[in-house]
Amino acid sequence: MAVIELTNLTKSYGKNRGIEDVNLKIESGEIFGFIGPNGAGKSTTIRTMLGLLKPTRGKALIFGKDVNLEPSIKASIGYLPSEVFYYDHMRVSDLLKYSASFYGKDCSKRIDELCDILDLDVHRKIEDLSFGNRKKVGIVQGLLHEPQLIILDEPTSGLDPLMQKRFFELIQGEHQKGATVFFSSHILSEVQRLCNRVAFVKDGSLIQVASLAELQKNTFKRVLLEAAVPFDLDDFNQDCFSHADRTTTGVHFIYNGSINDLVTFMQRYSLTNAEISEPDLEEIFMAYYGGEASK
Amino acid sequence: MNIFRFEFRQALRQTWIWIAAMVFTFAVFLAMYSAVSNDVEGFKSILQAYPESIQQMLGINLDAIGSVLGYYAMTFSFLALVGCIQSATYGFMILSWEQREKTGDFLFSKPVSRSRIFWAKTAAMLVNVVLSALLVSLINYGIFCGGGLQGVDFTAYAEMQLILLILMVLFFALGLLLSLVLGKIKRPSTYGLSLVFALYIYSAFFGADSTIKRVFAPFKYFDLFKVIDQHTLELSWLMLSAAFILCLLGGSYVIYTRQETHLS
Repeated sequence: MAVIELTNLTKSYGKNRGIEDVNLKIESGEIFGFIGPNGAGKSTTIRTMLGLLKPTRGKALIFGKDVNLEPSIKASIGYLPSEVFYYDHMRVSDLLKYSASFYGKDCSKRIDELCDILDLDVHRKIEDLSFGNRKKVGIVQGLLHEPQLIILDEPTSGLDPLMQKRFFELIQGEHQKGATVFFSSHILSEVQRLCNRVAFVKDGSLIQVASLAELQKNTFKRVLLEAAVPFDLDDFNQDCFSHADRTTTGVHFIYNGSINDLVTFMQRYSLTNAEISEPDLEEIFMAYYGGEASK
Repeated sequence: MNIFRFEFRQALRQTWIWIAAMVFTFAVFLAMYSAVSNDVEGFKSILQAYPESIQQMLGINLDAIGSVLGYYAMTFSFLALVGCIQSATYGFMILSWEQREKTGDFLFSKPVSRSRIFWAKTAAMLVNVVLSALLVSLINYGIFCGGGLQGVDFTAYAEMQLILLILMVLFFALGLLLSLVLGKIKRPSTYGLSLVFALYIYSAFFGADSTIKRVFAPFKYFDLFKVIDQHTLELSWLMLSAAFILCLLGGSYVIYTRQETHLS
């Protein structure tokens, strides 16, 4: 049984687009990356999946159940929203106790462990915390009940590099204990570091779901060509090329297509050098989204 | 139960302040009673100078003003005003909290249904409202007795306090529904104050004109002087109040359980 199963999940805000016909299946034990630029529909997908928003069409099942019909299933979910807001006048310890009270088990030991790892002062009031510390509170409250499914929406914003490292170790630890992780981000290096499989979302629709290895090896190539004669960039004005740019002695670009076609293309030129390598996720991302991701 | 406990405690500090305000209001009025009772005719002549509409608005009945409960009826209109502002504010506050403080993602991602959240929050506030009415009634009665006014008709007093409770619950339910219909309640106290003053003024000026107009004038549902003279609460208006409260709560439930959790 899939841990998350989205079928034609659609959410519109009046005439405005939210997400459209999102179909996705995430199996137990995966660390799944959900990638897209701001406004692509990542948070809308997550919030519809969790029942915070009502779908316009389609359905979202978690552990085979609809959270709107069976909210008790949320006991198995740990959720860290992209923006963390809590009851400002409360102390961190009281908020965490309140959060734990929903799960019907003693979470105090785990709360202490998580606060130690993240170096979180539980005696302070929420209103006195910096954005990064609020994020830590969010992480602790999302993980304190040792959920089987962890849903993270832009989890590292506000965390310093040391805390990001500890956070990833924490998530990897939960994964090793058997948790499934659904992880939305536009920071590709962290997705690359953590995830086995990723989905790209653009303008509210999924445009690609693939394993990270598949994405990096099968389709996209980073290519550098050098020749004695300068390249005409118009030659690269085809769908299979993206991000073509001149270097001092040649041109580099991202290629998406058959490797044989690329070799045929290269034969047009009297090359002095050619390098074909695996692109990183960021380059693949840019190839998918073109200029809009950098806006 | 955890949501109930949490919400109840959140409101409790405010509840103590509201109770103190109501007791203080009562004590100030009662402090003036000995002066009034010594010169009833003089006090009546001052009040007679007020236009009739103002007299009605202030709950003044010149024939009864000399008696303790007749005087209390005037005080009661102020107590009711304060109590209703409190409960209307609670109504506007409780279900709009998550939207106002943006804590919806925290609460609604917990393993609990919206229906349970609704009843826990509503019950927590209702208990605060009932607690306020009950404590104010008991403390004020204690002040009556402490002030040497043991002869106060307890039955009439208790019925008047029941009216206070009914009005407070009615305004709570009204605030609850309006908060959901209006959405984005930034300052619940402003909404509570506006609602109560609007209906208070409407009740004073139009509440006695016709039965239809009285339906929209909660401060005119019960005649305090009938309660003092005959110990009578009109059953039809009691039933109407109960029906309104149930409909407002039911409507709020339906809207709340169908709502979404927006971030802004």
